[in-house]
Amino acid sequence: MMNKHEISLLFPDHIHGQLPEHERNIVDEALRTSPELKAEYDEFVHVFSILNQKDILSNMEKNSENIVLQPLMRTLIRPPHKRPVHIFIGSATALAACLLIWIGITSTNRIPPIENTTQSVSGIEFQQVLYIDNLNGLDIKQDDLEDIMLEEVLALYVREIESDIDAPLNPILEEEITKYLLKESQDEESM
Amino acid sequence: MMKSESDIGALLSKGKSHEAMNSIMSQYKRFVHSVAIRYMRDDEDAKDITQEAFIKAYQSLNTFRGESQIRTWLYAITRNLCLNALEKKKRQGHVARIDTYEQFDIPADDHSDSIITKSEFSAFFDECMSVLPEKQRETFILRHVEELPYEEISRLLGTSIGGLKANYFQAVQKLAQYLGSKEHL
Repeated sequence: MMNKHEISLLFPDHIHGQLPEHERNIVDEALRTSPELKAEYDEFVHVFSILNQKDILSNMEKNSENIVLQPLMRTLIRPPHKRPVHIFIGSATALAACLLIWIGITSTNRIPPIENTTQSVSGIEFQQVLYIDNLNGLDIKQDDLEDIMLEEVLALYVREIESDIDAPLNPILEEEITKYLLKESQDEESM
Repeated sequence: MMKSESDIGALLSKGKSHEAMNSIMSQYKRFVHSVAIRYMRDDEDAKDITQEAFIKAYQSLNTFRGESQIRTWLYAITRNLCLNALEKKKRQGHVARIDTYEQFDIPADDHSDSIITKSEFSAFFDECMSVLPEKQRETFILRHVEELPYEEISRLLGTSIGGLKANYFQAVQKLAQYLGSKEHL
């Protein structure tokens, strides 16, 4: 058994004829017996007659008339067979560009693998310079040694004279210098 | 030519998604736009949402299995887009109220006559809807205007069928009171 409130909840659907038969009968009976429910029911009928469904729908229809979906449809719905061509052209171009860039990069910057660790550097010739620090026992020749010693001895001699120290000259050094000077003068005379 | 939901479902099952989408767009354009405008309250925003809703629908067309009605499916997509857009606007401070319609500045005398032109009716209907809270308004429109079954509305709004019947009743009751008060002015 439904109370008045439960019955009144069925009014909107009763007005639109959307109730099953047993509920429709309950409402019909309540409307016959209750003036209070009948008054409320009539108010609902009035509301639905003013806010008529057809009027509302036609109004909504009118509001949506100026919506243009055709460009959207064309954008969205493209024939599927055209897509692979575009994709192929775009992909092929991009692939070719990438390939060229890759070749360009790798050909200029390629580092060959090192096969021999003892490669020689050729093409540059150096003029030999004799430095005493660079000589070892096997490299030294007699003439070279004499020249070097003489230069060293003369340098010492000159340094001692220039220092103006009144010190006796090393007898061995003095003897060697004398020998050298005599030899030089003999060579000049023989020439 | 209008196609029924089963026709569209048959097109989808045959893989004719382009043809099906064409039918969906031409058939449900009004519905999607009216849902969008109820939420957005702005025609330009509603148009944007309508376009976006159909794009979303097309992108997820392969996921539509026909378990729900196309209209219900589109409603869910549109409503989600609207709520997201409103949330975004709210964050940006563009929306003052999202629970009720904005009041239209229409003199009461304009509706005292029984003859209402179409453009006036549009404003009048919006005004009537503005007196309803969101759930009652949506229930009223989905049930009275769109004639969706309670089961579908229940799924969409997440409300029990008993709750929907109560919302629908209260909506009509409020509208009766509102119209009564206007007629006595």
